[in-house]
Amino acid sequence: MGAGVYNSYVSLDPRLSLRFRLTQQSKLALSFGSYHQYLQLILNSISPFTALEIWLPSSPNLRPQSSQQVALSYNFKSTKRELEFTSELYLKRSKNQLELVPHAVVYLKDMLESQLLVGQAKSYGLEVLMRKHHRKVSGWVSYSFARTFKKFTDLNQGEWYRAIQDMPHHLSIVVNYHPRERFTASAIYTLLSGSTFTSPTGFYDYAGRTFPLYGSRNNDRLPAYRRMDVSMNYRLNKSKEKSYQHSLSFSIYNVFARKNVYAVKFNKELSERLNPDVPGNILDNDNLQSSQIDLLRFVPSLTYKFEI
Amino acid sequence: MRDLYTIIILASILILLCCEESANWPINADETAKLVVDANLTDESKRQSIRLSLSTNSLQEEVVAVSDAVISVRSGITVYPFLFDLNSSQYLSIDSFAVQGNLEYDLEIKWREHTYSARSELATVAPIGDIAFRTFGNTDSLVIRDIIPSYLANEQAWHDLQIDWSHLNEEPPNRAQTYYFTFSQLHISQFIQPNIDRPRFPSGSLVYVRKYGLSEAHAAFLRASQIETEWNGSFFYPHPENLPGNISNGALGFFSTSAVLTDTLLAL
Repeated sequence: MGAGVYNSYVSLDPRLSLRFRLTQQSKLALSFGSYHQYLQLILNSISPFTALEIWLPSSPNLRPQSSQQVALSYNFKSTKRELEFTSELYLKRSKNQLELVPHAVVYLKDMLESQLLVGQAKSYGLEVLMRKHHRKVSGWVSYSFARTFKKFTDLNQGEWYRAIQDMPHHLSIVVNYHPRERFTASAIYTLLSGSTFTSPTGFYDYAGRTFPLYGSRNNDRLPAYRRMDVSMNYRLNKSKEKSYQHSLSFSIYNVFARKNVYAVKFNKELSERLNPDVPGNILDNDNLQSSQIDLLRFVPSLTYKFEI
Repeated sequence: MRDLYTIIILASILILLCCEESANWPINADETAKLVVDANLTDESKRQSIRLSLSTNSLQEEVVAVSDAVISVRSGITVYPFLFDLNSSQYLSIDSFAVQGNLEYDLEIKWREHTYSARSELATVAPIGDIAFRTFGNTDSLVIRDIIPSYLANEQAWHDLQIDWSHLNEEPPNRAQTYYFTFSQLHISQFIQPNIDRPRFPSGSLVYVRKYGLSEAHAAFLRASQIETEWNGSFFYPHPENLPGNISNGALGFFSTSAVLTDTLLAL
């Protein structure tokens, strides 16, 4: 192939933003935007880890992703009371979304595009944030209600289904305590709806092994994700004027050691060591049971930071 | 200081606690049982077998065999009828026959006013390679060495290994069966698999090896079956999907015709 332009796309992306000042402290905004993305990310795993992460450029077979978003927002800010409130309502439609075909072959494949399906997505939601500062304590509370759905002709009988990102409720509470100039303590609480996943609606046997039978895509939802993190930071310098700064931080991730499930499996049995293992003996295949995998439960960390 | 040690030990236990555990996850069962076809005819001259069953609503539910279907396999103008055999709970061809190369075989199943069909051609098989054994840890037990390749660019095969040590120990369990697959497509979970509890057996066991050739469609079906079961549950896993069977009218399973090679080994 010689040098030159292989393929090109020209897109118009108009943006419109209208702002209305309601009072000295509050305003209302309405915005509309059209967006195109010419590089598209391909992942071969839905676990938190991925073994393939390819950014594919648009091509004659792969049109750029496009989306249109309309949003209405309200903002209130009181400097006197050190209080801020923001909320936004949004609606978004996207086209040329990509998904891999079922059981895709992605390694040593000449035409990766043949393993891709093209579809559409829609999402809508409401985001609310309230921020407050009061003497030695500051913090904010944010809540969002967000839904995301996808539709592909060759998946889920061509019907809309809940995307894996569809986690309707997300609450965050952040509190910072600053009792002395050199010391800060923080706590962050996160509550999030579990992500969707496809659980079997039945099982069947073939060649002595048991296989899951699936109904609609992403028909199930993992338990809600809850986590509390705490951290303390102590600045070791007495003065901020020094040519270098150093500090010591101690933090604990998931302080209550909550088991946040990220996957549920239906292909394992309890081994002699009582661990869920995949059965390798076909004759023992009738002891299968469901198992769940959780994320890190409790991680303390100590950090020394030196800045010039 | 002692308190500090206690805290460190407790924290370490919390961090290192097993991340996967047994769970009683409720499923949204589909009440309608589906017909499952398990049909792999071979080039051995014998009474060929086909197993029909129904899908279940839970992992614990016992699989029910379907015994009231009418099954036949047609190749050109020759028709091979099958009858249900009560002893083996499967359908056996009335006459012995071997699947021939360069012929198409059409399966037809009539069950409860529905007709299910599938077509297959004989898939050839390459010679059986070396199969060896090794001791398991510090025990006297043997396991099969992982020398059957899971990937070969030009070959797809299914090894069915039946291990029998009933002549050494009359008390069960004294038999085991395990499968190894070779595909000409790669998947990340072929290499980073969850822990598989492979059978362990005593030295002197007999290992009956059957190696089946796979057509492209059958290999795709079995590769998908591996992705959904044996390879599922490590760090990487794709979106769950149903297996790409070849039976019409919504039935599950697969109809295949394979050349097969057999061997018997003494595990030492």
